[in-house]
Amino acid sequence: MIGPGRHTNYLLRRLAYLPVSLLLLSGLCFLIANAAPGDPVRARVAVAGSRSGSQDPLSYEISYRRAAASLGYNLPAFYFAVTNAAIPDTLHRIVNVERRRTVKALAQRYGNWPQVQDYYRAVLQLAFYDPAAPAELVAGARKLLVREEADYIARQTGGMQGPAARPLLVAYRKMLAGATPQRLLYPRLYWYGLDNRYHRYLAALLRGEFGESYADRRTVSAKIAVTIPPTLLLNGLALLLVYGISIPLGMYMAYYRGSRFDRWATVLTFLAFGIPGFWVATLLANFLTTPAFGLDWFPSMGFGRIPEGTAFLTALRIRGAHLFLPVLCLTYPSLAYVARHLRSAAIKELRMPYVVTARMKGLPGTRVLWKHVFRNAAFPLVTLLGGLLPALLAGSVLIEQIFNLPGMGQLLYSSAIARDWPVVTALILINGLLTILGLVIADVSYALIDPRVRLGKNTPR
Amino acid sequence: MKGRGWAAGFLGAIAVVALLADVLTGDRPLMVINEGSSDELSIWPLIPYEAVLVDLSEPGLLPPLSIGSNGRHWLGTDPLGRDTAAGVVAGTRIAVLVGLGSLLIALVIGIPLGAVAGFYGDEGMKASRYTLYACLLGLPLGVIYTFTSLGGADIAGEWLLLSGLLVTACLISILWIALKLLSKLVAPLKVPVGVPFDRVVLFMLELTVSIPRLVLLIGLLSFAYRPSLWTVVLVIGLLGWTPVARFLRGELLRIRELPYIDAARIGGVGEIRLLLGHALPNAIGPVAVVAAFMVGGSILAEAMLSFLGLGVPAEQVTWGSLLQQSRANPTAWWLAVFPGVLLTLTVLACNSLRGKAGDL
Repeated sequence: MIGPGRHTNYLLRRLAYLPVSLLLLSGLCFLIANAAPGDPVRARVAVAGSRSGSQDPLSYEISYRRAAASLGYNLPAFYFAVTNAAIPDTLHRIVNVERRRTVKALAQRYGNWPQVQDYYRAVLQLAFYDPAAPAELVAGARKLLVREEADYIARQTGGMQGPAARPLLVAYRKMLAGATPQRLLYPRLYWYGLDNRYHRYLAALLRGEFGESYADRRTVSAKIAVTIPPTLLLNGLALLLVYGISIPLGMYMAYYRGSRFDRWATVLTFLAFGIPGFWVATLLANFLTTPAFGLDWFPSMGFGRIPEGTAFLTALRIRGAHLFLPVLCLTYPSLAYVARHLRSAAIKELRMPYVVTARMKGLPGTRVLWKHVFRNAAFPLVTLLGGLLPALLAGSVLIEQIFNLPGMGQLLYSSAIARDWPVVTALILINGLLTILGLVIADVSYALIDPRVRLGKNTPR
Repeated sequence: MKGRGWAAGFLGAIAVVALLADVLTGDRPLMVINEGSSDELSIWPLIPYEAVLVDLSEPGLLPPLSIGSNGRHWLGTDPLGRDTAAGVVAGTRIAVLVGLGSLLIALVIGIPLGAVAGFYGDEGMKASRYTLYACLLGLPLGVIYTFTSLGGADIAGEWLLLSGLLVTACLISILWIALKLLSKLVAPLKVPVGVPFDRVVLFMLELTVSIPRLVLLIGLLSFAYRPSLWTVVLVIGLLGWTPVARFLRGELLRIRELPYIDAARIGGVGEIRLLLGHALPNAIGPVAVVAAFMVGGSILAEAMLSFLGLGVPAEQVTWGSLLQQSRANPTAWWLAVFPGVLLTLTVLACNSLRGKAGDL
């Protein structure tokens, strides 16, 4: 037997894709969560019951800063930052998103960070911390906090008069006079180390904490955990039915190739593969679960409540009635797909010389089919499994929505509509993880079953 | 389903309907001859309603073949009085847009990657190490510099792109000259090595395949305040290039062993011309079939998204949005049946085109 070198090498290479893909997916989810509109700090401050910004701006400032620090929003975003020389390395300390954007635009336009900083500090001072300043100056300063257009600032500062506005005007003129816009062209690399938002996000992910939902402050993991059993049941049943029915179907379609059974089955599987699952689900839900046409045979809502102590058969009947239509709609497209693949693989195998030899030796046809042909034709089934899992999960989003099943797909949809980013990104991550797992398991199993793959020989893949 | 003719014919009809949507539907006459005089003749579109035209004068949810204010509602109306037939035509236009748009993006990405990975593999194209390092260093550095420094300045989009390309090219050239001079001292830099196209493309394939498409689309579309069809087209195209690349790679792996390629190489044809002029024309044919399958998949994905209410603005009518309306009004079977039949036929047509390659 060939030594462990070559095939463990292959397996290790396949398994190495798992952490790399997961890391990239987590980075993608981090980007989505960051790019999402809305200010999570503001949401947290509002929930904490602080007074709104319009009534008492100073204390709102303080509580905003405290909330930002506790959520970690005053940290830099990543381990390092590549920017131009006009932007300082401490820009992340400005937590308010609009203010940070304004300061960044000003710094990039004038290039002299110390003067820009003095100007902005003067604006802040006038806006919040100068009790003796007249009201219109304070209002003007508050507007200047978030506006960065050059002509707007010129107009606004031109209209400011009085002793309270002097520091601001002096700082503004110094910023304009000492402008060094050429600093924009020099690149800079700032190193932040481990104390950054992405690292905290990653560490929390690895611990299994996904944060809190924006909608109801429950932990995201709790919300997702509740929805796992229905989705698992739905997809598990679908997977079982897909393989349970398509294996005999595909094999017998190949065995009786050309017969009336095969022709009909081919047409039916072609149709089943093409007709969209969610359309059939909509039709079935409209016609069979509502009293609209008098065919109210199936319950429309949810999962079915089983009261304590019902007999097993009754419980089965209730569950079955609720799950029959969803599982049907989820199963039939994948069933058709797998059956057709198996059929074409089996037809290829049935032409091979070893089948003819076995028949000539006197083995009955079905025994040849199941003991010999199946084992060779089943190779593509394993790789199909890898693609089947993400397809089922994606399909169950729509099926759960149509049949009102409280599963992961329904949670994804309702959180997406409600813009509940922690839940949405966590679900994307989990789905990605399951997809990658499915692919890796499929590849590794394929390598384990077929020795030709791991020994690097040519395979009929 | 035998008979490739019906599939191609049906898809052609769909494309024609999408193209002529404005002529087929509309609530104004297309042409009026002899306007104002006594023998005025006006030519109406086939379906005398606009897809998004809300008609609150009649009670909504009229069944098919009922008379409306402008003419007959051949396929009924929805609760707001919008004609279903016009909605189906509008949905056809969107389906064709999404299908062809994402196909274009997937082909633009997938064909070059698949061709290069399949034909050259890991050893086909040789370059000296200093060239490789210059490109590997120069390209990312140039792109980063474009975004951080040039992006901070206040310049328009096209100038940004232009200056970015210029900076990247200069950077790569400078690095190339520097490393070439260095290679006179450091001998290993001069060694020609194979450019690992195959490994890189396979890596990108694995990564793209592991991204869950529908789930990601739902997440992305919900956080855009102004949902746009182009987001859908872009994401489906960006994630959908993998089958094209994989198939083309497989085909070229087979073709590059054929004797005529060796003969051309001996005859003096350069490697790049070999790929473009000799190998690729033979491999492209089957790729068209894989591409057809992808079109069906993207039309289906768009229908799923608009069924969920994501991806297109709320007032735009597509097949999926008509299906969603049927959920709220189960008695209006025409809202569920007609768009669904059209969607099914489109997907079946695309599948049957693919099936002709013998794959399924």
